Amino acid sequence: MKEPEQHFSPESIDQQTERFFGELPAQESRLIADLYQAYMPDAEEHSRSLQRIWNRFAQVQESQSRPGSAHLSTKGARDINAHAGHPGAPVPGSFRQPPQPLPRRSRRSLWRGLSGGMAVAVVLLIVLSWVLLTHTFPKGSPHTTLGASLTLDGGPHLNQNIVFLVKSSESGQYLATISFDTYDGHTWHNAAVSSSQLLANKRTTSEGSPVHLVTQQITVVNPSGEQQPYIIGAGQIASVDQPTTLLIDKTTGSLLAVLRNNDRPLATGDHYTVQSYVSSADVAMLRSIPLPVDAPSFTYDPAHPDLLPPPTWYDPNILNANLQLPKNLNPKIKQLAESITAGYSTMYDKAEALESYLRDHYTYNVNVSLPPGQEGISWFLFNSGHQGFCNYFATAMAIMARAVGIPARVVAGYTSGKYDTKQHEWLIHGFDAHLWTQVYFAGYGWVNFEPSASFSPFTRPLVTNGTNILPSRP
Amino acid sequence: MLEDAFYADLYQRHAPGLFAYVYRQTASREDAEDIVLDVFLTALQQPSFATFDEQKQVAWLWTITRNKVVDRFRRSARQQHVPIDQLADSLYEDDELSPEREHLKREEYTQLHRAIKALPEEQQEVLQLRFGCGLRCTEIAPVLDKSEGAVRMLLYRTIQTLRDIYASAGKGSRTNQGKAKSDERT
Repeated sequence: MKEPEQHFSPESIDQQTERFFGELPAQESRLIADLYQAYMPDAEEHSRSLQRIWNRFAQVQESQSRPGSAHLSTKGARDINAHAGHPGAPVPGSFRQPPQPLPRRSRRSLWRGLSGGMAVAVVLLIVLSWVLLTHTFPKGSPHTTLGASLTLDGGPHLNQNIVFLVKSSESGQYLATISFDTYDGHTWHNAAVSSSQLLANKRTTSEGSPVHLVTQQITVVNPSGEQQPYIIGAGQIASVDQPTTLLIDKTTGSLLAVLRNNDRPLATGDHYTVQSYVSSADVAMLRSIPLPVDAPSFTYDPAHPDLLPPPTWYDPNILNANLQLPKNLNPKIKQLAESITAGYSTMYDKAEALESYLRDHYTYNVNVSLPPGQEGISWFLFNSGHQGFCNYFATAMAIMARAVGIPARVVAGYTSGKYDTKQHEWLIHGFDAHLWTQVYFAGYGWVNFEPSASFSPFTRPLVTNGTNILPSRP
Repeated sequence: MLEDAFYADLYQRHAPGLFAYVYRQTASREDAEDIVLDVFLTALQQPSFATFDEQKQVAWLWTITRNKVVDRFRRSARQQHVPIDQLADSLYEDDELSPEREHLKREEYTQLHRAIKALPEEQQEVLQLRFGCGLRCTEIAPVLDKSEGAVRMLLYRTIQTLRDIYASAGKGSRTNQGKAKSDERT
């Protein structure tokens, strides 16, 4: 495979110094990445100042506007500025999200057994959130968004190249890079992340059961342009054949992403084997799980340390993180979600009703343009002419689910791609980059849903015979 | 509704550049924030502003901004804003990194630091505006009071200088990758 040939030139210097230009040789790319890191403190200060000015401006503007007018759009506009740059220009990552303070101790209930410590550089977080967001929100027209903020020229994932070859022990698996739990009305991010080291071939603990292991061999063909070397896997990553860094949600202990321990981005020819936990839950099992509001409560009693929570108990931390809703969300979203799910009694059926509603009533279209100042999901559901692309579908399902009390999040990654029957492997192209939704079922963990119209829904057995299933977590 | 979107859009487009300019001139973050706020409030209170074409709006914003800076700081000499002081030096202090990798990375990073500090002030400024403020050349031009072409050239030369420093450190991408791989096996 040939290396990118471009070198710096005055004519293209704007694009070439964008964060994820992706067409420079490795050394040049590294210089640009290092410069962004070097100027990160500046970028943070700059964006905080811009945010403060805007907040003050919006206050005056609001106080001057006539009562009752434009309430939502003012709020929306303010949020956009918290997270967006001017159209077409790259913005410092922190223009979207000030860095989170990082306590030195992290709660790692699920990760006790893992080796390594917990520090994560603030920089990593910020860089990461950038990567994630640029990843998550494929390029749209300059004003598009859920990602006005994420409008990067040359979105690295939507190229026509093959990015990965995947040999998989199970067919049709989506490939996850990272999941997000917090939606602020315009962007997804993770509120608090800590990191931990995973040695080669060591296992993480599954967050749900029953699950089975899917093994995949991944070969990088054309690097996708991500600066972070994500390990992709069919579900929650169980093990990798080389040392990696786990990014873990600090409050819930959920595994968000796995990064290869190597300073350089993924390169052509890189190869790894990854095992993932994939839910084996069948529909009957999932139907048996109550909504959090109907689930039993549990209080840890130090006098009875052996007393375990009931199987359908939800960890309140998981609920807090995954029932989060942006402030000032259009109340019509909740009303719509309630009307769609009202006829169903189980959480699974309600989730499926939301999924089907979006699949059936909206059209997949990447050429949409979110008017400035509008919250993306409200616009998508009510004003878009019923069209949008995966970011809108996945976010709409997650937010509508949350609005009716179903814990949900979004996952960025790739669809299963195209199967090469001769080579017996899956070809993943840049344009397979995707965002989908997961719902959390007590005990069973995260379960995939595909709300995007024109994509195949996930197949789940109605009932399983229980083969090929790992034992429950200890 | 329309009006809100109009100002949000206006702000997104121009506030980053205007703020960078004012901050460069005043060297005080609080003052710079006050001035930029003042500029946008002036625009808000100018009934005909929204009717201007875009070119005129931009020219108007910049004129008002320059005037306000002058008004406020007529008597004080321009204070130097030294961008390099803000450079992150806590990078790669992740104690998860193996000592060798950390060492390698830190060395390279220290080198970048040193290289930036050794650059002429103007080159440091263009780096800060590009990477710290996220401005494109056309937006940097009014901040530095230069033509867009001159900014392009300046940024290009600055990047080339840094690139050469990286290259002269003997870290060509291919050899480096080979090195990283062999490191992994040890």
